[in-house]
Amino acid sequence: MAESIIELKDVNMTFQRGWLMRRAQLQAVVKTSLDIKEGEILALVGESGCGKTTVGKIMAGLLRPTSGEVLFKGKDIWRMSREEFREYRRNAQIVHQDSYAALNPVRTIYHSLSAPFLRYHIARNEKEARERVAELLQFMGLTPPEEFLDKYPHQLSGGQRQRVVVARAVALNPKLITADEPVSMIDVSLRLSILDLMHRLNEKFGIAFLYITHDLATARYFVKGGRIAVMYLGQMVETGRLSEVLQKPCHPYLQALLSAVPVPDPKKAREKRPLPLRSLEFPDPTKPPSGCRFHPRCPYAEDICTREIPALRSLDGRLIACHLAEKIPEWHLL
Amino acid sequence: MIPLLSIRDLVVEFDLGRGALRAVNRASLDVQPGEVMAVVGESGSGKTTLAFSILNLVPPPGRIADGEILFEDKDVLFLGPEDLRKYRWKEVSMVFQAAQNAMNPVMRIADQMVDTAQAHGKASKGEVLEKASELLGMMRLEPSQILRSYPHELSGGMRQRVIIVLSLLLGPKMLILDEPTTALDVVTQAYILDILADVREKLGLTMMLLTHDMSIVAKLADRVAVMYAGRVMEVGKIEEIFYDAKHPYTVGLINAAPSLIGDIDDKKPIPGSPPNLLNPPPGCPFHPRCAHATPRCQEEEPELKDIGDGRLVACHNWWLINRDS
Repeated sequence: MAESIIELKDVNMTFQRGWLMRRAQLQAVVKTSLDIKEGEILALVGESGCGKTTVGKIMAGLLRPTSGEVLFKGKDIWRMSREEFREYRRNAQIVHQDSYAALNPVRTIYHSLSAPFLRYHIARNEKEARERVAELLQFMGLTPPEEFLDKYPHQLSGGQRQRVVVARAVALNPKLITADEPVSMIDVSLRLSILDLMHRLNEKFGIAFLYITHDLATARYFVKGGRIAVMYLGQMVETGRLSEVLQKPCHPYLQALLSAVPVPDPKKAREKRPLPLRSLEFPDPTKPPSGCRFHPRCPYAEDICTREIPALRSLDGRLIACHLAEKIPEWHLL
Repeated sequence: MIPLLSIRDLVVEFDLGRGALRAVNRASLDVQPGEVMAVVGESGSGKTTLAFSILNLVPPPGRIADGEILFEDKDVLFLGPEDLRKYRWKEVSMVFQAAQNAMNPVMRIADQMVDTAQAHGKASKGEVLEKASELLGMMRLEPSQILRSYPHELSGGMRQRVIIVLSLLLGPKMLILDEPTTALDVVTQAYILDILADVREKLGLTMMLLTHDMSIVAKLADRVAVMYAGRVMEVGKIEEIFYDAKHPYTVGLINAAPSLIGDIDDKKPIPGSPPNLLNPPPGCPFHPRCAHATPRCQEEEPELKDIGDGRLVACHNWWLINRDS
């Protein structure tokens, strides 16, 4: 078994909302543990507000959790020395959703991409940096590189811009890239090409990926043999090998989510299948339900679900947080 | 059948100072009464501009440079201001993209309903609210509770349904929906698509659905028009488009739509990127990305031709592609 590159242990993240009388606490991430092995691809999936982006920010070291540990190669990143933290930062990079916001609009592509090389003394001078950047652009499929070096972000298409953002993340040869909805703003005909590019980086350089998305279909395309983790209202509900989890989802929330995903096939899409949910209302995250946070919407909920928070436990080679996991009827995709 | 809406050789240009950008380029499309016509395309394909043209609502610096739009017996582009006001909302209404965030935040839903209805007609308050309640019920919402609420008290999915009710308030013959579910969560999206399928059946409504998402098309549409670089590339019935696409771009779009079912390894992106409309390629706009392109495609722009049974394709080599697949 490969070693963990990054590991979250019992991480909690609480945000304060409102002011004085209306002050409320929002537990965005509740007692979450998750690890990514070297060179592994893991998809973190959930609807908006489930805490997936917060988990991503914690993994990338952009947010310090309220409690719990974030271990990089076994060391807590928030107890590291300056030098160690700098090394971790080099190794854990991020790709955001909006490539336009991620790049400085008044800097050329060369300017943006050469910064990490110069900052970390990988290139000794401008000439070397230029060669490095050209090489990088070439690998990213932005060819010929000379055509892109001196352009500004607004002169590129959305797909090209996102390639530049990925290039910047890869520049320092990281061990882990957290990609938060990297293709949701990209044209549909080009989405898969960005995912293909990231997959090549994984195969060629062994970079591990945390792929954060609401889109299960692109997760299936990108993750291939890797794992999936599904979150609901700040809690991890099911994790396991993606192919197994999608074939036989166990947690009632995942079953509902999968039955709601539309499929690009008119015959299959029109088969009437009721959503296996008791309620469509997403609870107020500042006042989460007691016990299992999914219980008010769960068609199988029993008394225990309203009282006790289910722990993530091992079952059939995956982890699942459901008191009734053994009793939930088997469910299959169309 | 006589089409409800007929768009003929429509050209819409945006004058950007450094040259005119053709957002819609000689596009033609018929919509039959009672059908759901999906207009599929990526950003910049011209689908939203096409929809704005139907309402004669193209914002400056855009202008309709050529073509005609017939709705029943009306020539939409020649309607006077008063006729146009009646035509919009009473004949054709539109749910704009992200409209759920465009409601007046300090007005109760009931007042917004009355306001909208009275801007376009002379209905009394009671009549409007009665009609609104009926429609809200159809949208599976609790009318009395919703009408009392302010927009911020409703979830995104509820707001979107309220907006759809607003657009149906005057009983239009045709409803245009621009990306109606993109800002919503998966579960809410599935629910709203179900409701739309229901409502359409109950009201016998004609719908035009603008989207980039083939999965939504698969769920709701009767026929599909595929747009690329301002042109209509292919029009066909839903099964024809999904199981027997003729245009290489349509084939590419379907192959590029990842799915939870079927073989995921068969999926692949379309090579290259969409054209820059300020400097479009000569000939067929898709030829730089097309695996079937011939020298003719680089020079001569293919016309949208009927290849039998109402199936329209704009490709010189469509019969070759058919043989391949």
